[in-house]
Amino acid sequence: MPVQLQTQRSSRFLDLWFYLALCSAGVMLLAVISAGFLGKTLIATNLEVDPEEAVELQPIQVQKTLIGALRIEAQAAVPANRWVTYEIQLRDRQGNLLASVIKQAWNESGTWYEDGESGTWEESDLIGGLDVRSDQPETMTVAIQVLDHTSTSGQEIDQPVAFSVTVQNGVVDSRYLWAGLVGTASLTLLSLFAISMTGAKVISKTIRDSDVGDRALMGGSDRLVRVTVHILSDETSPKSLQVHLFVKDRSGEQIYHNSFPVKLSLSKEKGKVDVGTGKLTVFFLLEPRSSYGFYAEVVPDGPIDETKLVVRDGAKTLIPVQVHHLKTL
Amino acid sequence: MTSVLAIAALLITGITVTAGFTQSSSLHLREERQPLYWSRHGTSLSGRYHNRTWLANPERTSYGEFRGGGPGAGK
Repeated sequence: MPVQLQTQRSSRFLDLWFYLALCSAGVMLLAVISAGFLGKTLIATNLEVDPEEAVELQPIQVQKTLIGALRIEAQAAVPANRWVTYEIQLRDRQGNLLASVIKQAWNESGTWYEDGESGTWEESDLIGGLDVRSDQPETMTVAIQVLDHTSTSGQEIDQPVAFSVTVQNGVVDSRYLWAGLVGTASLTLLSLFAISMTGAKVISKTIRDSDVGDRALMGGSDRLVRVTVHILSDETSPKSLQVHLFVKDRSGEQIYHNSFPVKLSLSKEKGKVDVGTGKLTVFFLLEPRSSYGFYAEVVPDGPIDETKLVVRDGAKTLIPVQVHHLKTL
Repeated sequence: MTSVLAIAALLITGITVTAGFTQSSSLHLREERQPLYWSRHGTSLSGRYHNRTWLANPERTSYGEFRGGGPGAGK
């Protein structure tokens, strides 16, 4: 029976799922970047708050927005070894509390000793914040109140505390977006590795020799067949070798033969080659769907420890690949 | 296999973009239930809503027990 062979680069079998995952990671990246540009600063100011006092900022008009929220952030500025408990308050036009949050801020430093060495450390946690969403347009006022201000030994300190406060509207919560970016990026990476495992494994045969072969039912006009030959060679490995690949039809007649050069990646130990590994991947489109045999022979066969043949039927590819189209007429 | 990963990635995108842009984790003014509230910078609410009014915790002015953080804490 005559066999037609056509070899051409094909993008018919691209794994669109991978590109969909890549797109979603791209969308997350855009979302993270755009989040930095959203939000309009209404107030950015510095103020000093006396103990037990509440200091009000100027009133702000807040409209109901479709995206984002009103964000209030305050950063206390205190010397080392102080604790400050402060409250961020939201008040309505009549001065009634709309909401309040408490931050237990601290700034500490000291000396550490370990294994005869020593040094100083300084750590602080001074920023407090609140995001609010309102279901109606309203006028409100932000106020900061210091509830408690002590030294690390617990002694009350009767001094004002300096704060820098920013109020922004329309701010999005980028914590979700970062989580989404990390999640989608790792799924995209996983699917990148998963592409080589697409399709049904119809042949998987390992032999401790240089020639391996098997046959199975595979192919069809829209099923890509991925043939992979893994080579393991010993300390006498050359830099590259040849793999002869044969395809036989259901009656055992050879319908394809080609030899492919394969570069070995050599792992060395103390400057000497220890083992070599190589991999050959070839794509076929086999028509009609039938039983086909694949045989691989590695030349030279001297250094070969192991040869493994894997054939996957219905495979997908990452990029356009060279496909050998064998059609039995 | 890649289809499952792609659908999971799309789901993550949908959920996180929606949550981030609608600010579902912010404090919703005057609502008694705040199931999705997620505090920022370890700043905790000092009250709750009842009948659309903020009820501040009465004990919030006495925070004498607070002992800061840092590597020296708890030693």
